[in-house]
Amino acid sequence: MNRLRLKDGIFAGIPVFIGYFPIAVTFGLLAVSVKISLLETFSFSVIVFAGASQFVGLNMINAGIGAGEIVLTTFLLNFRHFLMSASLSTRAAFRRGLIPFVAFGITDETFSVASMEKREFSESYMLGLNFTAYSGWVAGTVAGYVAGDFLPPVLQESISICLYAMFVAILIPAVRKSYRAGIIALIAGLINSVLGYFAIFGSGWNIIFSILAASMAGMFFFREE
Amino acid sequence: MEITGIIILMGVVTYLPRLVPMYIIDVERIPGRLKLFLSFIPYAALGALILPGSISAVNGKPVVSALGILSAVIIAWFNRNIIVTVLLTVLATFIFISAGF
Repeated sequence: MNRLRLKDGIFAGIPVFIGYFPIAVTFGLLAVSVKISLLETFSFSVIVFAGASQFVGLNMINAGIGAGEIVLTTFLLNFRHFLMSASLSTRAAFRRGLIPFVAFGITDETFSVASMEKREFSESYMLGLNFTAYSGWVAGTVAGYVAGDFLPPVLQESISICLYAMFVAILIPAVRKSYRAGIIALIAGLINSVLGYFAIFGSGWNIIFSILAASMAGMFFFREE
Repeated sequence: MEITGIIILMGVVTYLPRLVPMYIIDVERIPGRLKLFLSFIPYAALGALILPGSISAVNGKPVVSALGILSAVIIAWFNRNIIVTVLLTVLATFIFISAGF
């Protein structure tokens, strides 16, 4: 059987493109409501290329939280890619010179597509897959920002719920799949609310502490599935 | 300028965990407990953000915020499309604000 190449990867990325585009449009819309520039919004998606953490980053920038806390939260959020990247590298011997480009495009979705692929694939397959996914993300971001600029001001106040609606929309399907996700989220939410109420640390550190404490609690109470 | 700096640093800390394991890590040797811990982080982060937001999402309007987030939960429960959830929640929130909550 032939190894999958660039063209196969580009096609394999189409469902990811379709999934990313509307989420990226949402990101662009939110960026308008947070009042960062088109160039900053564009750089966000071009440089970071990570869904959840871009939304979280936007939320924290909007709340006026310091750079250190934002960057540390991003690191925690995206550390899971460490495992995905490690797992993919056991699937294929990528050419070392191209690894930096293959690695850049590892997301939950591109990882899922590649790791579910039963046939053998090359680094050029991964590059094609990443390229399609990345195009959807960047194009959607710009489209969303441009559309958001035309939004009537009456909607501005209701728009501030967007970011939270987005978080809820990501979380609920996971909760429906496994009650664990819901329990972990609830614990983290309660810890963060209590810390916020007593204003013990800055709100960025509260978020970091809540994430670590709830994930650790989950690690002790739950077994591997 | 400060936002640009944040974006670049966010990019760096996102890229490194994607890059480093491709050169050095043997995935079989990562302990199962650590994998479990890492898999919980996204849910914990979402919970930590959503719950306090349920009174502060819309500035100065805790009742609208709570109703808005509750609507989002119900809408997301019955449909999997993120953009549909976001748009319907905005619409619901718009109605709550207009109704004077």
